[in-house]
Amino acid sequence: MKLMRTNQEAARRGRRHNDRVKTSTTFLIKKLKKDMNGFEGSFEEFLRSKEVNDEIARLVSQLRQKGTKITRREFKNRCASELKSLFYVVSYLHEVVDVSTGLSNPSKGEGRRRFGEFLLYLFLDLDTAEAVSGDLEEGYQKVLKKFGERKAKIWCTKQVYSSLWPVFVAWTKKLNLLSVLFGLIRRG
Amino acid sequence: MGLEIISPFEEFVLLAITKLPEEDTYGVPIREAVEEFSGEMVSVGQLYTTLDRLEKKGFLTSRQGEATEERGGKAKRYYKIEGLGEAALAKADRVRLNAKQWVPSKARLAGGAA
Repeated sequence: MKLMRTNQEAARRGRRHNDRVKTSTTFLIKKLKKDMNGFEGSFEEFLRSKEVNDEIARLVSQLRQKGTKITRREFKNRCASELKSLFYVVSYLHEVVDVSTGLSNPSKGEGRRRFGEFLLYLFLDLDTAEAVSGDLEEGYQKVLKKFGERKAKIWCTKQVYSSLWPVFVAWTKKLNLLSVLFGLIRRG
Repeated sequence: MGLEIISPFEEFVLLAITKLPEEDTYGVPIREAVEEFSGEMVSVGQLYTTLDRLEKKGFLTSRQGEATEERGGKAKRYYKIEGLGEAALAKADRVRLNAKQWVPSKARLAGGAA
């Protein structure tokens, strides 16, 4: 009977520990969302930054005061995967949305479109690349007339990036890169 | 050696070029027609790699067209189906028909069992 009560108590303590850590990680993620916006650097650099580590230290000391035994590293590891996903989403949104107005960021969107076009020119011969690029422009104008600028940009970006894989495969075939790669793998 | 069997996607592209009026046999209308046939989204890159392949096989020929304002001053590329392409389409039709005759239908199988 006494043993059962001890086990129940231990389970309750474990649940309390998990709940506290979970609340703190949610709090940390909410707090760091603002710092992620516009952060110039990789996720690893972000995780090493002073703001992140100060906040983690503060939360961990709060948890210890409440009796939850956890190290900074453990706490950091628990948050890392969620923070990472959020970091990429925020970075992407920062690229396409102007945070001050909440509208799409035309200069950055345009830049990406141009980069996609450049990749087409890189992998295709000049005539085909011009025809593809012209088709994209014509398609863009059509979608623009029907659904507006935002959807037209999404359409165009999707077209460019979904076009790159078949174009890249054709390019590697042309240069016989795949057989060279397979040969290297087989030898290695 | 006989004419090679073309893939369904290549067939859709050849069919689109055959069906479209001559002034519309360039990328955008071809892609739209193929999307209509297949009911799937077709990327521009996927279409052009297939067009390129078909041209190399001698099924198609292409010529540079005029540049228009709505295309940002970029030229169109018109495609024309050649005799080999028509033969490949006919062969694809024949193969499909043969296959259908060869594979017994569910109805016939059910009748046979009864």
